[in-house]
Amino acid sequence: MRTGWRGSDAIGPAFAALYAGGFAISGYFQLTAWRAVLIGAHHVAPITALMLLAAVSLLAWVSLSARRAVWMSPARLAWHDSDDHRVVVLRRRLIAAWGWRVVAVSYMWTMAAALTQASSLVWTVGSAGGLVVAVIALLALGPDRTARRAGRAELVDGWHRRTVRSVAARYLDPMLLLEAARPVGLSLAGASILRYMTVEVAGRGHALLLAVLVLGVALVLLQLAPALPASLVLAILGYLSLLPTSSGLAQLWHYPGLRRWTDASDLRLRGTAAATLAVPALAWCAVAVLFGAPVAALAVAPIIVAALVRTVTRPPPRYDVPSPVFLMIQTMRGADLLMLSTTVLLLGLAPVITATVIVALTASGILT
Amino acid sequence: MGVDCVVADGVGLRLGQRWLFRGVDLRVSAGECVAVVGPNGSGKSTLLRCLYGEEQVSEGHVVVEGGIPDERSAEFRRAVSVLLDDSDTFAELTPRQHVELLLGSFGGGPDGGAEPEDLLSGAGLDGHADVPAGRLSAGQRRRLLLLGATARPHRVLLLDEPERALDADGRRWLAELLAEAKNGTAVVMATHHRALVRAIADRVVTL
Repeated sequence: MRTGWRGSDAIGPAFAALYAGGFAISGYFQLTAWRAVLIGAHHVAPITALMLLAAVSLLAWVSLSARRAVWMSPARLAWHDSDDHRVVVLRRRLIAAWGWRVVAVSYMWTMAAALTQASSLVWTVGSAGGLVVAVIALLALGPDRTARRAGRAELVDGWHRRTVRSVAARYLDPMLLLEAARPVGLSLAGASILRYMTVEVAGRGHALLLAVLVLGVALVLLQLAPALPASLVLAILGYLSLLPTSSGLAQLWHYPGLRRWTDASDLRLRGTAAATLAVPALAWCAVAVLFGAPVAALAVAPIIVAALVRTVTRPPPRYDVPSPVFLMIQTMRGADLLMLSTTVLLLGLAPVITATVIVALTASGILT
Repeated sequence: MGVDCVVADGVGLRLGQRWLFRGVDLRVSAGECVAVVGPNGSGKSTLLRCLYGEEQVSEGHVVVEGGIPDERSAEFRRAVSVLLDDSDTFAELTPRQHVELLLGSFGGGPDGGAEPEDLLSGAGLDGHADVPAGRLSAGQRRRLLLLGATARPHRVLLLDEPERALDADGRRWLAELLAEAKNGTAVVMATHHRALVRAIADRVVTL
């Protein structure tokens, strides 16, 4: 009997893809409802759709350049690497990676254009421009060239990274996704913990670049969907894009073998990490305010910092818990504080009460 | 004979239906070194983890620095320095940055006043002081880990196979390092290195 390895493993993702695809397509048939939710009574210039297209295209291009499709298992390289098999597989995978991004960007573009009731000129400019960018991206990616140049070391390294990503997704442990920093030649003498945290943030310059791109998307999104609360959009996107910068604290927290290099208390580590993370978080929110977000968005910065600290100081995941609810509670640590604090901001309470509650939540996120 | 810094009385650890080790007695005072030897799988590393409070013994009792070992306590970690299986380096930090982090956090070594340059030079890492640890060889990383365990203040030193990955020069340096580290410190090391045992250990416990 040939059930195949895909069997039950593929049912979950296939069902999720079917559901997500159905939900996405249904958007085209419910434009009025979506317009009411995202735009409301505001007027949005159709050119905003073009701005979104540019921002997400740039993001897609950068993510494509990470070459996540360039991987092959050592077993396959050892036992099934004859002729051009490696090149064929990699080429197909690279084209698929490009194709998925084209589909995703196209979807966002067409939805944005439809929501803003873009004129035929905007439709034409956007679609033609998007097509040109997609072709240039494909040429720059060069699936055949990239596939032929990829060496064994890069393929095996890519496979290791992919394995970590799939384990993290399967076991709902985003901590595994935090990648190593690049070396930064700053002395750690003196205030060594503060300097260590600084080096760990600065060493993730690639993540900071991505955070800048996500900020661009967030700003366009605020223009495109003025009915959405700015603090909610900025809190979620800021938190997600700055999460990699908190890896310095995460690795000290989760690996006793690294923690032995310092005798700093938990409290000192949390406080120092919060102080260091406050710099990129405040800068992120300040730039958002500079480009049109409400000034109140600055209040999102401490919330993001507290959520980041709470996320990476979670206890190691336990899988012997009696119910999936407990697993979800573990997984949501950090994001829970983000949502709670943002909800408080959105309630429109008296400023003193709002400030008091936000300070209390931020302190609890950093200290506990 | 000084006060015992490490005491294990009738210690045993059971894994499922069988005993990994049983009836182990150990007394180590400041300035002494005890070597724990035995074949692979005899429980040397596990005994060290018990002394560090990472694992609980099944019978007998363990006292380190006057209390039950508990690596979750910052005070205990300050007194007891270890090189265990899971000891690691930051791939992105250089040896110099590692030592600066260590000294900046714990202060100087047992003698105080140690300079990063001297420590790195003594470990033969001065030529690689600014190379990220992720690019060092296994032997160089081992030297750095040994510095991490010995260059900070401590009263007890637990070492699991410190000779691993070291070349002949490295092993000679290790013997000198431990001879120096023994001054005023209680050292327990699990090892397969007979020459090191002969040169450094005051007593040997066989598992």
